[in-house]
Amino acid sequence: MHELPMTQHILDIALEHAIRSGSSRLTDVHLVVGDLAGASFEAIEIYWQFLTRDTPAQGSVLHMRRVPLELSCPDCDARFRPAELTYTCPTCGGTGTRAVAGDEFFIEAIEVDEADPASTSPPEHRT
Amino acid sequence: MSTRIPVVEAVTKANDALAGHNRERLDGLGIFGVNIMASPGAGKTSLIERTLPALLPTLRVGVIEGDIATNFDAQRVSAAGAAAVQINTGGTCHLEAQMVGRALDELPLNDIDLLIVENVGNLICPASFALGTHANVLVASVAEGDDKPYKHPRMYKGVDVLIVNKVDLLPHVDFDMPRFKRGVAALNDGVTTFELSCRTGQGCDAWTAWLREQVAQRRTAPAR
Repeated sequence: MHELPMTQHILDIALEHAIRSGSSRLTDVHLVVGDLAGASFEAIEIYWQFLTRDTPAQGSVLHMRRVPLELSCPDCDARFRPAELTYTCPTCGGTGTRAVAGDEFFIEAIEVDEADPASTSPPEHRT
Repeated sequence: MSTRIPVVEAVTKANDALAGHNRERLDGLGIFGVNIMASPGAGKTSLIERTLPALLPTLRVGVIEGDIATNFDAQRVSAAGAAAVQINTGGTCHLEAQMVGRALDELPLNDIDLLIVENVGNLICPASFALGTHANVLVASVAEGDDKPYKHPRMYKGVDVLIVNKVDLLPHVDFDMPRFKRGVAALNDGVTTFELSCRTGQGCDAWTAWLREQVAQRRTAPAR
């Protein structure tokens, strides 16, 4: 459910950058989503189809780079992806491990069709 | 021909900006704000009900109650003596800064020292949406099990204060406190933690003392 407002935010940011670039069509959006972001890519894709209708992003493609939760162990410096229901270091058994990756949630880049010199007024866009 | 444009902006940027605006309003009035999050049934409203009688003699408290539906929680905290506003999200599973901004308009902010926001009961996404409050508080309860830091890491990683509620039930449930705390430490080393029971009152004094201290640090107006 929370993917609906998240998807709206993604669209707002992507369109803002597309319009600023002078392009009238957004073709691709590249997302980076950590496991801790709590966002389902499948749900975002479904909302994307609805929210982009009649916008310069209609028909655009979402790409996602998933970043898994990773921990590091201060005892042996191992960096690892945790197994089910434990954060204990698989190398040395250390229990003082700390999360170092996985809470990313940002738009890395967009792709637009090259600027159309005929279009002077930016398309409507909900902010 | 397609052109790639680097963006690198957080998905929550718009919400973060509105949260910043809420924070400025609170700071301008010297109000300390907390955002209380938890799964349904962990004891968010019970915590507020237990907290208010301890604070109301000396502090003025405003409460924003977030729920998908019903006005029940706002009635509970109003009965306990706080100025309360209910937000019904109508299905959205967390509060966003914009909703809190509108609720702030309905509260007598000039007559409040402490703002308590009770988020929608949900252990997935509320921590991803800043509200402008000064501290994110997660209420965990021992009845939920000791595996929650492993199953809901986002919530445990994004909070400033952790309350472990229902400790009066520890003799009756299989809750491995060291395992729970190892999971918390991996995600959020050094998080301020209070172990308490809203039912018996055990441990609640440390929590209310912490709140009083935070309010005292931010209060700009002279003592009233």
